[in-house]
Amino acid sequence: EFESVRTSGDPALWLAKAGDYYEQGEYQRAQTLYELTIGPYRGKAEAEEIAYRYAYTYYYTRQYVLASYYFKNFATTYGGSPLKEEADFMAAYSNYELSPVYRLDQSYSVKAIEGFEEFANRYPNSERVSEANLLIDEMRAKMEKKDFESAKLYVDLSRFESAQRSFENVLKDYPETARAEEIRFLMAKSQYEYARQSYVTRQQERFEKAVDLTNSFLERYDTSEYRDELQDILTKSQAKLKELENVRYQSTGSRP
Amino acid sequence: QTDSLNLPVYDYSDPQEYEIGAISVEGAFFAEQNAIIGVTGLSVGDKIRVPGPDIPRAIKNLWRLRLFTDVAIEQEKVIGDVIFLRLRVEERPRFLRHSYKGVKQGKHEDLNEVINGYIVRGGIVTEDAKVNAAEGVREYFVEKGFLDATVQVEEIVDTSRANSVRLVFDVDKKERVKIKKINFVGAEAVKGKKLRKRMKETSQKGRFLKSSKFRPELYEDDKDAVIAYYNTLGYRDARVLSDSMYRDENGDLVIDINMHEGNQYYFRNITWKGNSIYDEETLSQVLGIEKGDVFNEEELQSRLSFSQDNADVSSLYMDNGYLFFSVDPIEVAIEGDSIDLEMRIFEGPQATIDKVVINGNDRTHEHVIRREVFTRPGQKFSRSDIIRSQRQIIGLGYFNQETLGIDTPVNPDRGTVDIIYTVEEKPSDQLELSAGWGGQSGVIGTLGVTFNNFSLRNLFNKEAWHPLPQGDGQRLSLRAQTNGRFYQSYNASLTEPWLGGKRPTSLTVSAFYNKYDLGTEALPRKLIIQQGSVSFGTRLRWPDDNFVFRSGINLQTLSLDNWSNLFITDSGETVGNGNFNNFSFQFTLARSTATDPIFPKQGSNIELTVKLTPPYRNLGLRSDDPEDLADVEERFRYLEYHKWRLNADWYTPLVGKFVLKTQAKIGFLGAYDDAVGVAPFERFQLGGDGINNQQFSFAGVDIVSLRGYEIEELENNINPLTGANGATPIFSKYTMELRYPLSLNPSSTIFVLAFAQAGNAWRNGRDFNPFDLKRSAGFGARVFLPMFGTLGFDWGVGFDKDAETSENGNLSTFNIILGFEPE
Repeated sequence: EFESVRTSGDPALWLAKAGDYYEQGEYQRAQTLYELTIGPYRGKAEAEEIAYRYAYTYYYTRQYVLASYYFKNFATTYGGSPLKEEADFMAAYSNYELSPVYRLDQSYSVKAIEGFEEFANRYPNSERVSEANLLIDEMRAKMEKKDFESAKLYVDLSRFESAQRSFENVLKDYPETARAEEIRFLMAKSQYEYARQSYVTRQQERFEKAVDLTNSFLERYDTSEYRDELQDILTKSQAKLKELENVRYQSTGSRP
Repeated sequence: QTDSLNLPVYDYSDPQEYEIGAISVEGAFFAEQNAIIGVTGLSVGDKIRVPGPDIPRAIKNLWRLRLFTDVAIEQEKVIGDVIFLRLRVEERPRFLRHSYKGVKQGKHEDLNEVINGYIVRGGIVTEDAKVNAAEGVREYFVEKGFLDATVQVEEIVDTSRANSVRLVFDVDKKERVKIKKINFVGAEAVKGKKLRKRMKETSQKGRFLKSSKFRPELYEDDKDAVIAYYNTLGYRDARVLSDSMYRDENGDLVIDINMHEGNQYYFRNITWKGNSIYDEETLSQVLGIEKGDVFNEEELQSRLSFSQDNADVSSLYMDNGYLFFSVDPIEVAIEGDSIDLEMRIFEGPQATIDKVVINGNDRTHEHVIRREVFTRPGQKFSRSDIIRSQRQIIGLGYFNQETLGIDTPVNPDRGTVDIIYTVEEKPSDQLELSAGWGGQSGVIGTLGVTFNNFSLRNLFNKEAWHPLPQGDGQRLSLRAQTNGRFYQSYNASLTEPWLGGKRPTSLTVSAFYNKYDLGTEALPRKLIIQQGSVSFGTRLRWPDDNFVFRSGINLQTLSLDNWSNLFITDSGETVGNGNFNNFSFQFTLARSTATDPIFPKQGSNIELTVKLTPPYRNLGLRSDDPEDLADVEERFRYLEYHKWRLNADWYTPLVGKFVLKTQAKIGFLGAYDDAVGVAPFERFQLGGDGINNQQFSFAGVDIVSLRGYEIEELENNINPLTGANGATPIFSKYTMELRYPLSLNPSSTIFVLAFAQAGNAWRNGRDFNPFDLKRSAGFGARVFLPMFGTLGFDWGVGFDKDAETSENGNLSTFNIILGFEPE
């Protein structure tokens, strides 16, 4: 039946059947028929609903890239439509659907965040704003985790300098992070490891930084579960610095 | 537009806010009025500003419908702060479809694309769009060399729907115009022939494999190429004075190009300014341009910034992180034909890497890529690190080599640079489903899958199955092979390349089960080999990072039931029955610099492997009782041996595309205890095509080819006591192979080769004589097809054979290679 409708060449029939399929949830077929009706109904009253449902057929068939495009298209074409707000939201939401686990590329998360932010600015009174904000938070948390994990990877690879810089960037890029304490702990700890594994000539400077990072952590977090471990690191670092000081004293003293 | 005299005048400095009282539509007969109003985004009751953004936006929306030839929004009247608007549109018939006359069906698709650029189905047709579309079609043919093509458009009212037209494009391509001759007038320093060669897309009739059609745009590029060529020869004033084209009596095209060559210039003094990190001498040496060289702008730029081998002046700085570096060659003096240059250098600060970003990985997990990348946050920028990272990323095999993007946006304020790698995933899994002819064994069916980017941790995570859990860079391979009658083989292996995630130490766990069952119920003949193994591999940092060390444990059992006499001890006992345990440790040290697996042009692969079983008897774990030793099955119940293999290949590029492959292969199997003797398994069988039985991998012997000799033509392969073919504990083989590639296309690599080879097998160490070799020479060819592997043949003549014992006195052998290159 679908084939005979499709080849009928009758726009009214296409539209009617597309509506039926759409309501029955057969979005793939609805999509094919709606696509055919776009040309003939250009500039007619039905065009708005066609465009709206056409976008949804892509959404329901999980073709989110195209869905986002057609929702956006709808919103710009039908500026006066009461459905515009929904379409603007769905354009961003389709990108949200594409946002993958944190281990993968987050381009769609970025796009979705941009879309939701634009939505919240344009419709500050919309009841969807709170959902948009929740989703933004969710995706930012994911991107934060991604950056946090990549910094931790550098710790695992014993690339402490790179870890240090990456952790700094996480704190800078995600000021709202709930991981600040853990990050500052890892920074102090990996700086200590870094100093420990360095050549003697570079150790003083690096242990000093470890002491600074440890001290500022201990001042900032009174009741941290990491305190004991950092106390230990602090003691060891200071002892090491003293030892280095003695070595230098002796070596300078021996000069004529 | 008609009442241009009565246009309302708005004061733009003082926009007024109005409420829309009503909107009327004028001039719309086919489009619906409400729909038109809807598109404008304006509706009754809205507040708008005049002048303001609302009206222009509405007009833009109307235009976008492409239904009208004119659109206007007018103010009908204003009562207080209520405005009444009138939308005035002018409609045109809608374009329904088009057809062609005089064009072959095959071209329709291309032309539709051209036409769709001008006219949209369901939209209106204007005169302008029609003319442009026709011109587009004409240009399409001109590009194809039909310079005289004409195109007419006819508009026909279509009765199948109201207010519609269809268009007919009537094309007359005429004859294709060919270029008869290209003349260079005034070209004296350079021969016309050489200049014509520079014209890549515009060539005279009769040039081999070159089309002689005339394409105007490419012709312009070709003229530039001629000038560029002159410039490389020092003629920096060269230009085309004029060019003319005319038709000869046959209608063919003749092109006259009038050249002005000008003088030839030379480099004179080159001085450097602004350099503090490298001295003038170093810079001049890197530049490599001497006083008196022909002035060549292209060469100069290339030596400064764009050299292929990255040995230019910019690289010198960039590699060390001077990303803000720039150099500006200034011509400070031109005297006669000599040019003095001053190189003005800006060195700038050394850039530090801030972020390393990886984009585009929609399958492979980020840490799998990031851990391979040599550019890391906090380090100084270095181009060679980037190139190395690029190689590493490609080496993973998950990404498209052509589209790998590397961006380095700099932040001059902070003196930092980000490095952005953009990858594109490509399918990396392999499915092997084949049926092949295996000689005496008949048809062998193989079903195998290899997942090169598996994720074991997601095995039980249902959401990660699309279609399989992937992204962690693990390799899972499963393979089953059978010929239905007597042979079955099952393989499985899993490799984790970064065990623990901290160092690139790989762990491989694998197992196989092979069964040959040739006998009947009354007379069984059976061999079953099963093995489980675990191995670790790690890249070494010393002596250099091309070294790899692998170690592993293999647990293997062999059970033989009336099996053939392939396995023979030194004293001539045939081992055909019983169960044997082959538990060994294996250590491999390898260095590999020849990275291309199919046609390496340079580099080498050297691999030394030692395989050891525990010396049970020396440890007192097995009985030394002469009675037990007398029983073959009991003596070898737990195999004892130490086995050494050395494989080394060198690839040397010779003249042209010729590559010389030099290879040495040596194998030695020894015993700990002379009373036990050398094990009957794990031996080598040298000779023949090396394929014999290799379809059945893991058959208890290492099969090594020797071109020019069949297995039985090496006397040491024949057991003097039984007269049957056996395997030997020692072999060596040396090869020189001259290779010439016919095609290096990755989808079908083809090369031919000529070889000289020498090798021999020995039954024990006492007989071993490195100079007693069987020599051969011959030639062959290989074709590598990704779906089928390596196919090819070798024809070889053995010089050291006994013509009488050889088959029919024939000294040559012909080997066919199917699927893979034999050892």
